[in-house]
Amino acid sequence: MSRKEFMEELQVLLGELPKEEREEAIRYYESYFEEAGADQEQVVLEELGSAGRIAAQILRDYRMENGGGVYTEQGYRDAESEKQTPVRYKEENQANGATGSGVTITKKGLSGGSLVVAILIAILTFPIWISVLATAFGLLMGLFGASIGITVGFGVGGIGCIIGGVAAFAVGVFKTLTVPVVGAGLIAMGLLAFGAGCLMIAVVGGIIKLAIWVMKGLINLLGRIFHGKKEARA
Amino acid sequence: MVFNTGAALLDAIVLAAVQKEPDGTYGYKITQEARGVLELSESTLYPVLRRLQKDECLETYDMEFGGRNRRYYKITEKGRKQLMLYCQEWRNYSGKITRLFEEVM
Repeated sequence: MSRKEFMEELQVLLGELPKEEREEAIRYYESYFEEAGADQEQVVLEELGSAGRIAAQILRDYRMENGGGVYTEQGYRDAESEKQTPVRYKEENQANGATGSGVTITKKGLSGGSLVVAILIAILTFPIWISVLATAFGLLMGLFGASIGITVGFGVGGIGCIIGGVAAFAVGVFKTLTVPVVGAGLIAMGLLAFGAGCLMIAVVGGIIKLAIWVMKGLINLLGRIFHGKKEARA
Repeated sequence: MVFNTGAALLDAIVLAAVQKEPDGTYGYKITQEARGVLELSESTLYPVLRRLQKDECLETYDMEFGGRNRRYYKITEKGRKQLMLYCQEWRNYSGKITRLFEEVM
C-alpha cells in the first residue's frame, strides 16, 4: 500500500463525518507523512497500521461524543456508560483547595461502565433482592409490633395483676375471720398475683430501657455518619 | 509492551510531551516523543490529540514551515493542571507498585 492509497482509503472510511472533522483528520495524517519525509513512507505506513483501524477509532470517538452508542468487541459502549478520561482536574476544587498541593482529585465511586453493570445486575437479581428486602422489612416491622404488643400486654396485665392481687389479699384478710381456709387461699393468690404483676411491670421497664438504648444508638450512628461526612469535606 | 496503556496514561504522556515545548509542537514530533517511551504500534495519537483539544487541555495554531502549514499543539492552563494531577497520581500509583515489587526481586 502506498501513502496515496492509504489516504484515499481513510477519506472513504471517514465519509460519514462532517466535512470539517474529516478534513482535520485527513490533514493530520497528510502532514504526518510530510513531516516524516518521502523516504520514510513505508516506515510511516507500517507505524500507522491499517487505515480501517484508524478510521474506526476516529468514528467511534465521534459517535460517542455525539450521544450515539457503538457496538464494539467489548459490547455496547456509549458516551454515558464510558468516559474515556474518568478523572479530570476541576477548577472549583482549586478555589477552596486547602490541600498543600492545590490539586484535588475528583473521583467517582464507580466508573461509568461498572455503574451500568451494577444497575444491570441489580435489575437481573430483582426477584432475589426484593424478597430479601421485603423479608428484612417484614422482620423489622414484626419485631417492632411484637415489642409494642409485649409492652402494652405486660403493662396492662401487670397493673391488672397488682390491683387484683391487692383486692384478693384484702378480701382474704376479711375472709380469714369467717372461713380461715378460703381466706388463707385468697391471701396466697393475692400475693402471687401481686408478685406476677410486679414482674410484668419490670419486664415492661426493661423493654422501654432497651428501646431508649436502641434509639440513642441509632441517633448516635446517624450523627457520626453526618459528622464524618463533614470532616471528609473539610 | 506487556502492560496496557489506558486512555488516561496516554493523555498524560501526550500532555507531558507537548508541555516540554513552550511554543508548542506538532503531531509528528509528539508521536516520536511518545514512541520513545511506549510502543504505539496499534494506534496513532490523532484521536488523543483531538480529544485533549476538545477538552480544552490543548490549543492549536497553524504556522508556516518549509512551504506548508504546520499545525502546532500547545498546552493550556487547564492542560497544565490536568498534567499536574496525572503526575501526582502516577507518582502515587507507581510508587506503591514499585514498593510491592521490590519485595519480590
